[in-house]
Amino acid sequence: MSDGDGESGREYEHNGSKKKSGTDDFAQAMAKIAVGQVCESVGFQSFQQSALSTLSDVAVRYICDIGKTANLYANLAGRTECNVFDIIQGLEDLGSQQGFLGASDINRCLADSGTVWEIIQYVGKAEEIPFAYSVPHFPVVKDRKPTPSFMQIGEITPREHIPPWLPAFPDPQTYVISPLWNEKDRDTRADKIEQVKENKKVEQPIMNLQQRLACNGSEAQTEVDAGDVVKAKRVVDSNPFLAAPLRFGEKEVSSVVLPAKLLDEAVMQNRAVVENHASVLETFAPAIEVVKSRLCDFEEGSKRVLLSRRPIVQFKFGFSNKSLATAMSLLNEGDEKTASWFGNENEKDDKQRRAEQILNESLENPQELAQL
Amino acid sequence: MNHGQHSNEGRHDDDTALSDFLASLMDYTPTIPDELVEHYLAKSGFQCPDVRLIRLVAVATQKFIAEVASDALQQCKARQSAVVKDKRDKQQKDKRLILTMEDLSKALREYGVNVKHQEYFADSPSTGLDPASKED
Repeated sequence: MSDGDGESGREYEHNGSKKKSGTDDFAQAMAKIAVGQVCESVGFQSFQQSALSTLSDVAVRYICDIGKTANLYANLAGRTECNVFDIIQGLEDLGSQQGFLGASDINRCLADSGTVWEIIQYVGKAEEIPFAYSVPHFPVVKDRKPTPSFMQIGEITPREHIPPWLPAFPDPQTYVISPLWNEKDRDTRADKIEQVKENKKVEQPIMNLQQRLACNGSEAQTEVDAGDVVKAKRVVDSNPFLAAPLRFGEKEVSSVVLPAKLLDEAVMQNRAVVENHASVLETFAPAIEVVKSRLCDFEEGSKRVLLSRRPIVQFKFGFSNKSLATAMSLLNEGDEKTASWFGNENEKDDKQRRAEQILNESLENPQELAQL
Repeated sequence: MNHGQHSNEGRHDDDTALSDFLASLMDYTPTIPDELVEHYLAKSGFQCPDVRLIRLVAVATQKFIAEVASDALQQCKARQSAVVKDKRDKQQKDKRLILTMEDLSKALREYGVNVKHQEYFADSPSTGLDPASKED
């Protein structure tokens, strides 16, 4: 079976994509039911949904292929309407893969074609199962009322060159500039009614146009689109799955400020991790002690030293009542400063100092958290 | 069966057989409804007001589908008999004849239709197991 069926089928649909899918859905649903009935008659008890839809799709394509080949043979013979022999030839074409009786005979008569013989046999053998539902004729074609022609109205065309079978012109007042009404002259009720009537005449085609547009879905779509955008925005706001993806390296930052307590815990955990790993990083052990002691020192020192060099996030740290953030910002600002502290207070060798530096770097993480 | 080399009388018989068959289609209602066939034939450019020809196409399609389905049924039965040897306990469950994609693609391959089951297409696992969901 060729793959071109769908495309050729689409060519015959002039009504736009929306209507096309509608009729096709209906036809496909019917094909599914019919194929299901055939399968049941063969002996199947149940279906996989995908298998049923595949088989019904194949059936539809089979019908379309017969139609196309039959049409081809009719056209080849110079006819537009198909007859039995076109169909039989189409069936033979489609059945040529399996082969049929007398296929090798070139000069055979189509009337005793093997395919037809097989079909006759099948009809005689198979039990007659009518379709489960009564089917209305489809697709339903709404007959639009066309604008009557000049001839139908009985008018004479305004110009000679306009043939009378063309649709009549609308009333002149609908397209010629509508006259200004002189209120003083004729301010009667009848005039007003007249005016409303004529306005209606003008509005009618516009209304029709709008309705047709709405039918075709172009206008409706724009309206829906406008609504959709708003909705989508709302959804994006509320739904995390619809948010724009982050670029590589970006971190998601919540706009909500974490309560200080949580931050405390985070810092504590971080510290605990550092302490847990102390056994692994044995060389750091003295450094950690130093930091601890320095923090303790700092408790006393904070009163003396003015530490407001940076915008500081104030939050409490578990074991000391003094702010750790200030301490850490200080640590980060100048390693020399800490070094000088160490130089002043404790005499440390280079190794320990380096360990101290690494530890500081590891302590930067909680500070980042605090800044967020 | 091959009447091609018969005399004129034989050919005449064929003609009458064909026209008789077409006439008998007037009384025969194929499972595939006329409206459906008509719709798709019209879509493919086929023009004919004769109901018998539409019925002929319907019957031909029905025959084709029935052949494919019976092939798939054989595949299904063969597969089940192979499975049943291994699992006796599941015999009851496996006895249901379910048209699966696997059997269908095998059957269709013989008719020149290459269908592959989508690897990750999930039919609902309960498909075909619940008698209530069975389509008629």
